[in-house]
Amino acid sequence: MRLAATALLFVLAACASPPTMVQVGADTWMIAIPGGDPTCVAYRLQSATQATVQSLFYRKRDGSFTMSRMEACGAP
Amino acid sequence: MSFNRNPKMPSGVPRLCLGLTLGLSLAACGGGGGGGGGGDGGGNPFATAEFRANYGLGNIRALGAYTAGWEGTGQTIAVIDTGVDVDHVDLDGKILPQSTDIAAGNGRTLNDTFGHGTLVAGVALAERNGVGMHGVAWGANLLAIRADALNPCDPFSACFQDDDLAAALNYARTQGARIVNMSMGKGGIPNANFRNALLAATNAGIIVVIAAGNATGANPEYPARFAADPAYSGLVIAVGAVDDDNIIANFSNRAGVASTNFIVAPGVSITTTSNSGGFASASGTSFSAPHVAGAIAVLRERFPTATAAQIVDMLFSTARDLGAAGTDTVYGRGLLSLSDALAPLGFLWVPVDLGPLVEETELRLGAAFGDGLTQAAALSDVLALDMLGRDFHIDLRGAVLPARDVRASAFEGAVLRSAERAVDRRLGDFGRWGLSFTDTARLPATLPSPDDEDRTLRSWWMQSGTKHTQTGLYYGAAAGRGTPSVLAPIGFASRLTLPQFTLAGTGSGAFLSQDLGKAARLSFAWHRGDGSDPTAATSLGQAWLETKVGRARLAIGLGQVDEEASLFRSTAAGGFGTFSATRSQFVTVGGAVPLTTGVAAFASLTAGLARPEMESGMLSGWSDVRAASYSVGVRWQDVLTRGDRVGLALGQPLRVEHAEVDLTLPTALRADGSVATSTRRVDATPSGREMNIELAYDRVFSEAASLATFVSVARQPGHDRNAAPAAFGGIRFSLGF
Repeated sequence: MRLAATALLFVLAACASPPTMVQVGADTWMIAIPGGDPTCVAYRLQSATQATVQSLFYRKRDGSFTMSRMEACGAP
Repeated sequence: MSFNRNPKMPSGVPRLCLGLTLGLSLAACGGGGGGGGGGDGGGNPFATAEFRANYGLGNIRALGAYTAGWEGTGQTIAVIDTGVDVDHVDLDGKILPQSTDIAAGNGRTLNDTFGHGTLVAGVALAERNGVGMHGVAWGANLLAIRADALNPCDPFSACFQDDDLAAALNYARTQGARIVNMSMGKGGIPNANFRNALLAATNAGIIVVIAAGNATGANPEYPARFAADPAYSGLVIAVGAVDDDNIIANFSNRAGVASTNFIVAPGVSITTTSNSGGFASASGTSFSAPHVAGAIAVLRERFPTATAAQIVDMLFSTARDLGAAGTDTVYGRGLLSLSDALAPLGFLWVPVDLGPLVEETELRLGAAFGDGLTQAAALSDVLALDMLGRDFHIDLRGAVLPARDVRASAFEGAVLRSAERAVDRRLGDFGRWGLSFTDTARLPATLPSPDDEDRTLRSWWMQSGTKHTQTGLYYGAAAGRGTPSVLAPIGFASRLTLPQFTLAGTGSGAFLSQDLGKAARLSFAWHRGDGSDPTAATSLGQAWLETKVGRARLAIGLGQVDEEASLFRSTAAGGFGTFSATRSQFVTVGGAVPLTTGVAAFASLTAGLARPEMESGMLSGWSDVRAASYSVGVRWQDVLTRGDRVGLALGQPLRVEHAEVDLTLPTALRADGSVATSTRRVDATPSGREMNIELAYDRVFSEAASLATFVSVARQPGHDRNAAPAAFGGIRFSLGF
């Protein structure tokens, strides 16, 4: 069931641009938050089974994520 | 000297009189209002750059808490998160040694490698040290409980397993924490282990503050969603995020089904401590929750005897309403407002007897008491309770109101203009009767009666009197709304000579006067109040014996005044209790002696005594109250023209010379909810002593026309030693036709 769900999420992610969902771990994804600044998309961390920190994340140039908007987008 | 009607019987032809009276107060302006100061950023020592670094503190109105001296000292906030930067300058001094990594078997330290826990803890309680920013409860301590799981949340240490969170809650409870912050969430319902741990925490009276989530959902994520479950006794608080304009953040989950236990706090671009040892900006409901956790710590410090439910009630009752009116499905209860949560909620009441309201508590002093008790130091710190039973300390000195109308009592109305229409008729052998209507406009600046909208007084009186020339008996009756003229036939009648007359208001009465030979007269007057003025006497009786001794005229009088619920026109209400019926007695001695043709000196002295009692309240055990008044003066006749008079008098109006009372004040709220009190004996006499110098002139032009005028200067008016001297005067012209 989990593999099927994971596969479905990958398919959905592949169809979106920019990516609305980025898998960052076996059980964790970064999901884009709609309605924000399109030049600096904010993400939230989601797990299929566990609770996650409720801070926003931003994607850096190297593709990694940070909680610092300044670090990712050069502006607070 | 006064503008009372001539006490002698009106003589001559019946007349219709038109009188015009002008008066004005020349009182020097005393004192001035003090300037205000302080306020957010306006010189407030807490409105620093460190405070402003996180705009959230201003938006939740935290400044008022710091100004009042509350910052969470002595409180502990348990932060279940990813650990904490143990070396951060804003946190290292407040991490409790019981802090731990609760996740089993990984050999990690408490140190926050991911950074989230440090960001969260800083918002709640970062130290105020002039560096960077400070937290909401910068005086509180941190119980850091690291609970993040490495697997399967790679590469982030940013996930939490239900069992670890349950263990963390249990640990916080066994370590005695009263406030827990959890800035994490998930879509699914946590397992039974977690639910049991949360239940155990709330059953122990722990308030659990949980981030609502960043999934833009209509309801909070779990475990914040448990705020909607009554099983947790209302002690789970879900917190959503607003931006610096207090608008719900686009990412924030809304209140939804948990609206009654949902509150919002700033969560966009919050500056806080970072695990690099410095400071950083971050967004998310993760950073809204610790604003609330910090506020709870401040409230617990301020109200140490309040229960957890009461603390939560304070937060929700005082939250600033946002969005739709009232509790709504977006903002829930509204925006956290710490200053409002600290302020009295609803009415304040004084915990004595039946619990009177503070706003109904006042002691209005009569003129004789001047400013007595207005500066009683004991009244500066009185315990009052709000509708939640929380203790506040208030200054009740402002509830002691010195006498109004002090100048008016001297000027008998402080009139600007008065149009009087009078009819005075002789009724054959039955004597005379008079009827007078007076319209009087008051000087608004003279009378400190802001609630007097109608500044026009209409007074009327009727008096009938007759004299048997054969027996020398003079008797009559009077009634009216205005100066009690029934007392006028008594010689020397003025506020200085017979000050007890100032205790009488409007009403009716009778008088009787009998000549005793050619050299003496015995008079009686009785006045009954009409009840229109609750401070006025219900009745007044006066006996007066005048006699000639050689060229001098001497007099002695005995008076008695009954007041129903006042003492020398002082009234009390609310927490001060009320005066029982009071009877006071007065003795007056006086006389006049001619010095030369047309010049006479006069003097009088009055002493009064009352034995008041109070019904309930903070005032009790009154001593005997003694009061005195005196006057001395000189009168000249035929000064400018035949029939005119000039008078100069120096005197002291009625002043309480001795009065003590017990003040029993509630002072503290004990832990068991009972109220501690203290009793002290205080002096109720005024601080100053009013002295009046009056110069008067009156002249009768004809039976139909007369002029009277006076100027008076009062030193320490109202028996207030700090009052500026006041001057007032008046002129009255009467024309009959």
